[in-house]
Amino acid sequence: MRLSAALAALFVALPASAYERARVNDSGPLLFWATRGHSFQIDSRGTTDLSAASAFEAVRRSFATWAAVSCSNLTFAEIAPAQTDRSVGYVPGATNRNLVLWRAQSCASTVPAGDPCVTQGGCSNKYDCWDYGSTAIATTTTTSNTATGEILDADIELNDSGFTFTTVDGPPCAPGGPQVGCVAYDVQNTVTHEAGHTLGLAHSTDQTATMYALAPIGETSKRALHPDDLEGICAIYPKGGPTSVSPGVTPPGSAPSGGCGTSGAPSWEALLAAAALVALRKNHRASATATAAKTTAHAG
Amino acid sequence: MRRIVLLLVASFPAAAATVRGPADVASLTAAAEAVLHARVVAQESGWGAGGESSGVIFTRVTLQPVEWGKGSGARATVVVRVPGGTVGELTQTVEGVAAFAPREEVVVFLRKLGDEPGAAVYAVERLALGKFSVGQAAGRPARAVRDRSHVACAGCAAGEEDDLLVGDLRERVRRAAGSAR
Repeated sequence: MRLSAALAALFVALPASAYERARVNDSGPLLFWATRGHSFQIDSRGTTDLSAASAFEAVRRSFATWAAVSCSNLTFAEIAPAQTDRSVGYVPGATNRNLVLWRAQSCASTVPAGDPCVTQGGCSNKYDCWDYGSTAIATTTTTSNTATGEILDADIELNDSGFTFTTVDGPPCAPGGPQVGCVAYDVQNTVTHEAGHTLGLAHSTDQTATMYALAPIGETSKRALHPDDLEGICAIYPKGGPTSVSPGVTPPGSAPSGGCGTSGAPSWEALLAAAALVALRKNHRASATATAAKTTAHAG
Repeated sequence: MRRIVLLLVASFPAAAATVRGPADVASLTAAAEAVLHARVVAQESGWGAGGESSGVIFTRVTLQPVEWGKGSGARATVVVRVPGGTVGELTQTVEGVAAFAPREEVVVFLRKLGDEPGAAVYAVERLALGKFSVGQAAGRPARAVRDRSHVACAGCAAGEEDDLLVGDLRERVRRAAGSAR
């Protein structure tokens, strides 16, 4: 009785979940990886703002943060940094790698006028340039199976032509001021957020979440995951359960059972709350309509 | 010959990128080379220049201008290049880009990419933050609404409006375009 009263109080006190899952064409099948996690490769040219060691370690910590979620079982095998072809996207039948790379020059200042890439598809791969405008800081390109939502490739690009990336812990840089010895655009903060997208999460409406849309200059809070992020990722890739996919899509094989634990980098309170909410939501979802925003089909 | 496949779905972006603000109407107007009130008349997706080996899928959105708020064009249609789209069994999603629906009425803030025979080609300024969708409930004045859900913004002000009367939006664009001259 006392336990159920405590759990009831916990549920009452916790806010409703806010995470969102990405879908094919916004309203199609839910996105997911057939594997638990994915490999990644950092292009060895890195960023001019930082030493390779510093920048690359920040990227690795970003993926490690998602791998540390104990109610899931994600792994991210790193392919050693190398000078890659720096081509994002997906070539059918070819070897496709999930790249993390900085673009050091903008396409607007690089590409000759009249090149067909300008009007046909974009020039980032052909000229190794940032092609999303001078105000975009980072983006992820995900290629998936249209019918199932299975993710086949995900590449993260960071705009090194217009932004200063940092890895120091603080203080935040003043807007418009010098960006030395302070946090401008934190690599780990940015890549942890983008890595959430590579896994199939969209933006959360929870302002405390790493997957929340706003990212002010100097921010480092998204280096860590928060309860809403944990709930989202464990709903997609629950340890011991099948990967959550859209109705009618066959879930990929799942890893051996392990149950949701409470260890790892996030606080035990956050994980307990996330696990409780996931369990509650699973029950709720059993009766929800197939088209509800977060409804997913579990094999079990 | 480059294969173009008719886009059959209403919209395509699914997640989000990070953009530096501000993205209020005045700032967008100042940054844009053209501001256009228009209607979507066609969309088609295909592989980039070079075909499948390019690795990238993009979508051509053809707009029929209703009114130019900034800049001008003599041509009957304008093409907006949007990264991502669907070609057969593959869908490519580039976070945060503006999504367009068939026959949708929009106000878009554009930067010019280049020309091709019969049309100027643009991109949307500040990804999805540079597009408002125009709609009108029965008996109500038309409104222009912006969807921020797929774009993370660094430097956007809390008070930036995403839901405006079309007339109000048009006036703000006119003022900002006038002051920029």
